[in-house]
Amino acid sequence: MSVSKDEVARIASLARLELGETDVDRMTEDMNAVLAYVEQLKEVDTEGVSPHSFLAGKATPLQPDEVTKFANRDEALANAPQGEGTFFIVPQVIE
Amino acid sequence: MSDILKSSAAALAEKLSAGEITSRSLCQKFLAAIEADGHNCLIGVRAEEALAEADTIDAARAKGEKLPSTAGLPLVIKDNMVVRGKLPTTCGSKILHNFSSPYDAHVVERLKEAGMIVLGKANMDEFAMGSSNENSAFGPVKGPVQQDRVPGGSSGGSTAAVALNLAPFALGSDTGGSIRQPAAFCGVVGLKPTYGRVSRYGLVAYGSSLDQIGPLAHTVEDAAMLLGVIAGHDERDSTSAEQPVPDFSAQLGSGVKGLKVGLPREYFPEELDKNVRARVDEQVEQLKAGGAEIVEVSLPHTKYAIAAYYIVATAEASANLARFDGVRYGHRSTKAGDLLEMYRNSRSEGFGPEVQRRIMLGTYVLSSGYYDAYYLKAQKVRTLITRDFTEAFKSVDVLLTPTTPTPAFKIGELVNDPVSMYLQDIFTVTINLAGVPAVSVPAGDVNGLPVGAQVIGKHFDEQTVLRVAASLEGGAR
Repeated sequence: MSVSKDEVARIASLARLELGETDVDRMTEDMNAVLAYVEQLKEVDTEGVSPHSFLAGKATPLQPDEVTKFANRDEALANAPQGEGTFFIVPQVIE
Repeated sequence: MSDILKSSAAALAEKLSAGEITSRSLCQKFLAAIEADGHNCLIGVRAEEALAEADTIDAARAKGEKLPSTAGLPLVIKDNMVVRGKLPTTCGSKILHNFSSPYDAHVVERLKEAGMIVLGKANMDEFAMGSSNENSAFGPVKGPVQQDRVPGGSSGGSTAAVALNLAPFALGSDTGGSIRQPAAFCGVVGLKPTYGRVSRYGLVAYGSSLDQIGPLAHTVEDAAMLLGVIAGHDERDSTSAEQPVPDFSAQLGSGVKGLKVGLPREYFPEELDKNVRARVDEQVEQLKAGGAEIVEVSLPHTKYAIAAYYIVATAEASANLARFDGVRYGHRSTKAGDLLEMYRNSRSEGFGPEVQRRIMLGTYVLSSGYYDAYYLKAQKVRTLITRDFTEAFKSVDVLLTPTTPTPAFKIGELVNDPVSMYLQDIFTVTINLAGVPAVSVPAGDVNGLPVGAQVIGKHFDEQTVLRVAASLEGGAR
């Protein structure tokens, strides 16, 4: 299977990446090289094989449904590119 | 006195304990070596904090307080493990160039409890994606043995730092070979523990079902020591195993008599570099001389491992890196625009080309219409690869293989050929897919460039892996 430039543009949009014209060309080439390589997985008979390998059978550990406070909140908030108090400021979300 | 920089961590621990050297003095020497070094091994150094921590340890020791055996030992850690404080955790990326973590990773907490001192954050391929440390936003790491060659990756900085004696040992992370391959290229010991052995809490995730933190060191004994400090259950990592932690050093001197060592034929193909083959064959002879039984085995699905890996790892990476959006931390684009444009611009400006490539691949293989053909298929192949190991381990205790197909390649040689770069991991990715432990030990050199031999063990059997590794290190017994 291979990808077209249009598909690459669509995927970039899904991935929230901005690819310029030359970048789309390059990315299409690179992705197709990898996709060509991984085609060989089609040869493998996986009938009846579980996709869960060594992690199979392990129940997801649960934790008590309790609210805990993160002690270093101010340090976390200090990383905000734009913030005010406990809010992160972003461009308008809703019209 | 520069001999002290070449000492093993074990030897340094003894000197510290005996009061022959203070932790401050030791840290100062390594910090000076770091300062003077031109290989670009470190992204950030925390000299003030390190020396303050050293002083605390020295004062406690002077008072006669009982301290852990590792107290006062310095190390460096790969810059994808968060350390609380001003010094950023960058993951080798522009997108996190200014991210100051508000918390310590689990392994960092363990290091602190053990009295160990983090001198700085090691350079790495961006978000651990790479096999050469050429993908760092902070510049490549120059190979410690030959400067025009790569140190390997993605833990290139950590590994080169140990090889160059900038720290007695280091922590790296390994998702497809990122501890073992640089260890082979730089002539040091590098271990990837069993998946779940070491908590990933505070390790910035790349491939969550593949990532593990592990030690890089001059000796197997030092690697075992460091593993013992960081291993163990952590309820904050839901994939952390509740397996009890054994004494990893206990069997180091046991030799290999009576052990069965498997040589998987798929790791010794006709095309394998003759010199690399010769070095690994020498290790086999050593094991034979030590009383091990050598058995030929087969891991038939080996050839599909790279394909399975680059689907699973990129899929997981695309999900894990979705959080880097310019909203709460890291780089935010200054280009005007709406929210969507802010995401796109911040991410495109902040991520390097290899990271973008893997995000794109991952997004594609998980997307509607392609999920079954790619991701689900790859996960099923992964189960078959895991079964190959389980089958083999019914008749042998460990496996021995080359770590890499060649010694270190030149800087710039493979950087424009993604598939060729990916094939560098051909002997290492199977291990991450199966979740088993493996170590690379130095196995001589080819034209002056180090070569590594890889010892692979059963799940949670790091003891036997280290035992065989120690035997190889110590010469035939």
